[in-house]
Amino acid sequence: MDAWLSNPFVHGLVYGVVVVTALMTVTAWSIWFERKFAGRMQSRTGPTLVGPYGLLQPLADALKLLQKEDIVPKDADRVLFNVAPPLTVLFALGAAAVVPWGPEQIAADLDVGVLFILAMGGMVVFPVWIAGWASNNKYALLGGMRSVAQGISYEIPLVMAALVPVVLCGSMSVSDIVRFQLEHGWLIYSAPVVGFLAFLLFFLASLAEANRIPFDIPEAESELVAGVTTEYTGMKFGLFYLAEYLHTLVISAVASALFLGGWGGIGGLAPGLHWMVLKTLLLFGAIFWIRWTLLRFRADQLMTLCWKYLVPGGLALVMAAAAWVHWGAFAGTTATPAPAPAEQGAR
Amino acid sequence: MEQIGFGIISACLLGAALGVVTGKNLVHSVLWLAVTLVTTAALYVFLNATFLAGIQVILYTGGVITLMLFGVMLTRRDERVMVENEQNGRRLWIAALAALGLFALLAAATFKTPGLPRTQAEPTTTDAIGRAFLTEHLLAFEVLSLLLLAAMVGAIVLARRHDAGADARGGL
Amino acid sequence: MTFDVVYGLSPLLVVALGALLLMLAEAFGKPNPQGLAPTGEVSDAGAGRAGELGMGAAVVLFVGAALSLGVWLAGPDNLVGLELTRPYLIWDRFTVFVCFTLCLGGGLSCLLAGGYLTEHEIDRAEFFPLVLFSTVGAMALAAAGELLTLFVALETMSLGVYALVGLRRTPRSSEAALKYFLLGSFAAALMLFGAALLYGATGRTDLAGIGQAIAAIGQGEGPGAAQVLIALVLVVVGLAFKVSAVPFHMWTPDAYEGAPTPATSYMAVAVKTAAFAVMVRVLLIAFGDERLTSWASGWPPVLATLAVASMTVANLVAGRQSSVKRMLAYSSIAHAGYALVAVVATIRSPAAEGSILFYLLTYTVSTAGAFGALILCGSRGKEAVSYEDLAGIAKRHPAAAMAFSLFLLSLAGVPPTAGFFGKLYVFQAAIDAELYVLTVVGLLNSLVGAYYYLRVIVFMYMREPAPGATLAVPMRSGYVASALVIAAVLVIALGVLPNVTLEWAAIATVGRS
Repeated sequence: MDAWLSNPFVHGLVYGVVVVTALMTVTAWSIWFERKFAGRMQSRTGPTLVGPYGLLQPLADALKLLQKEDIVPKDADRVLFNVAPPLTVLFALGAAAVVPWGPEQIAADLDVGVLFILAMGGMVVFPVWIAGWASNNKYALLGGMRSVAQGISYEIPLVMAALVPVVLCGSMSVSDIVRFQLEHGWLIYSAPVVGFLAFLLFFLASLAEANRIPFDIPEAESELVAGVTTEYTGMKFGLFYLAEYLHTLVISAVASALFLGGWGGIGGLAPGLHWMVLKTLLLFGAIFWIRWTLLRFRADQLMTLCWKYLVPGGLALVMAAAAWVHWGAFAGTTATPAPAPAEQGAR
Repeated sequence: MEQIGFGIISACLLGAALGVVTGKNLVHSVLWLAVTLVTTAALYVFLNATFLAGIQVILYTGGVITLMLFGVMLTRRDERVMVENEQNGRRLWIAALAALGLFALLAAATFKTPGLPRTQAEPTTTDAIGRAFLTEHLLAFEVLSLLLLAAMVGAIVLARRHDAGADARGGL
Repeated sequence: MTFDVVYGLSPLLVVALGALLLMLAEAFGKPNPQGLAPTGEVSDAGAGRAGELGMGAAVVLFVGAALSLGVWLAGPDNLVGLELTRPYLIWDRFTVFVCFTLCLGGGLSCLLAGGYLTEHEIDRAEFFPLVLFSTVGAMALAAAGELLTLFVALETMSLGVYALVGLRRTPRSSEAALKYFLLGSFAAALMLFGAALLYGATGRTDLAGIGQAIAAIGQGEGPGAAQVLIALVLVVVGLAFKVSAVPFHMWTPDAYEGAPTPATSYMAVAVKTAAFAVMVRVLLIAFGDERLTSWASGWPPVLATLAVASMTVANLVAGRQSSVKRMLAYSSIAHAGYALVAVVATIRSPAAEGSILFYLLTYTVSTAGAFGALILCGSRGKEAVSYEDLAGIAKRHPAAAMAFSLFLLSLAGVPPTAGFFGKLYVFQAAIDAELYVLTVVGLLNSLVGAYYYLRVIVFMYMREPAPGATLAVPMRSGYVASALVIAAVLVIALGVLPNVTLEWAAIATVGRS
């Protein structure tokens, strides 16, 4: 069994299926959880009617969506209109491939995992934009434009924040970064200030990439009807809905792996997988908390925050991280000495 | 296995590239271009250059294409953007012939060059790339930073309106 | 060791540092209320400070030129530490001479811009950082001894200039910028393709290593020659775009005409100079193999064709222009042709490299001066561009007319101006290399060229403006005037006493193997 599983192809396939299924299931019930959570915050009870404590509400929602009529606007770009929803889910899920859930539980342990995560994050704006454009609806179009503007702006602080663990741990592989943290402590406290600020920056920028409140101006239901999803009905709308939660879940997992020590637990109380899931869900919950507490930014405030504060801050953080490593702040991990100077002349 | 993968990816690449040049709709062309760039990244993976592949996706697909889409949106009028991609038969043939001729020439030259590696390259680690940037190619790297700065200043010069401060809130 | 490097590269470093400082000064300086447009709009912090910033930029560039001179006197070969930068930047006498020329041309253009931007209310003081960035790229390009550095430097130089061309935001200026940008990127792509093929064929990126590899191919009758030849063609085409040699000159008249005149001046002098420098280095070091430098199987016939075409076509077309600015654009193409003659001559004449350098220096001062005089002849709202605008200017502004005449005579190659000796040494080198046909074509072309240069002088001194025509009122500007004085002094000095400079140019070679 083990030898068979160690074939990277089979390994990837098996874990891929497991991870996708698990994420989908969690996502479905996270919607129930969010509604309950929001209800409590607003002194309501949330869904109660379908099943005990309204636990079967997600199933009811899915059934409802499946029964709806599938409408494609007359002047819409038919192909692109239909391609956009599945693509959103694809890119939202993509980053999960390199997230380690435990020492062995990782679908694809790429040596450039962090880069892969960032690449997927960069691609997320595409389907959103396509949806906005293909709908041939002015609100959808505005939503698409906002999503592009926001996506390319916040990608920069996101990259910089993700660079901090890469610089600190000296590897681009997510599982290596987690192992480093098992040895030296979670980055948010083992590299005080730098690690913590980088975590905050990563979290903020990820929220923006995932278009979550307070960065959800592409959707902005009070101004843009429903933004890019205005013209979508039935399960296609459902896919967008799903992708949003999936993306949020995945970024929580990525942030836990990069900054919160991944599968490393406190005192070895439980297997690594449990810790990773716990951390992810805690972050996930924090995002709901933010959502029901904060207001939406205005478009220009969003840009000001990004370009005037987060980007310079991110630059400073990367430099601070480099300085941290250079002066060997982690015990036993001074900067690796350069190999013997390369022979003069190009290779 | 690898041959098959290469074949599939190359076919996708060529198809997407054809889509770019034959598309009648500017937006479709841009999106095909995005597909082209992503499949190119896949080819890099085959060449064991995973770092390059990641950078390719982040920079070209995530950055350049996104900006192109944004540009298309800004220039969009009431109608959907349509380019007159004239496709009369004779021009098509001339273009195809020229492309084939160039391809034949380059392919012949490449195949005749001795000493080309026939096997898959050794994977280049990110570490090695970083070191090369900061040792061997430090000068080019520093000049590159000036290049980016100049590009930024230039872009701002070209993009700024004369009557600045008209609407600080922007139009999004 | 460190000192050697810092001192040796000081022209480059000073200009780069100056660019950064000017950029900050432009962004955070206080606007000058007097220099603002009448509407009083403050569009950015450096508004109304074009003059001061121009002065600053010019000072930086002249300091760069002075430092080049200093490095020359110290002798780059004596600065042992400079070996460190090889093969990425080859800091030899050739490079230092070109750096001097580049800084001089850039500095003159900045002075011109200091007057021009203020006069024409172009509130774009970013001009100066862009020029400085571009000059850094140009200097690195002239020194580049390795394909990667070469390409990055080329792009650094070009990007700044693309923005300079589109500075004015008029439709014509935008069109010029777009044309220049598209064709420039195309040329850069061709060059990059050529560089990739070269790397593929030889496995090396440094020019000297490529030269050795190609020589090895030549001995073994290697089949890789086809790839090298294609690479050679692509690289030559890319560089021909940059020096605007016929038939790759199509963008030149439009870009030169649409750009603000100081930017035109900068393009004409600095970009061309750097492109020629890198052309000489690439051709002689990377493609310096015996077979590639022979008439039968190498680049000399290609470049000779380019030279003849550039000289002939440009001179014939230049005479038929109605815009002086456009005429000067064609004139710059023709001058590229003369310089190409000298490039071809490098295959047999050891003096040819020096003649190119000297030619580029004389061309730089004459061209920058000519554009400066053209600026001086017009003023706000009415730029002098056509021959009619210049009619009778000798009466309205004798000094401007006199300066213009001097620079035009120098461009035409009339003794005792700088241009005369520039051409003389180029043709001498050509005869030395037994390129008689090229020499004769060049001489004939100089005669044709004299026609349209003299035509401007005729208009200035012997024509009266058409009655009722709106006259271009000459502007007054200390910046432009001082640039003209510097250029004029150099034109005359190089024309009367060319010896020292020429001796210096003669020992500045690229050190081919």
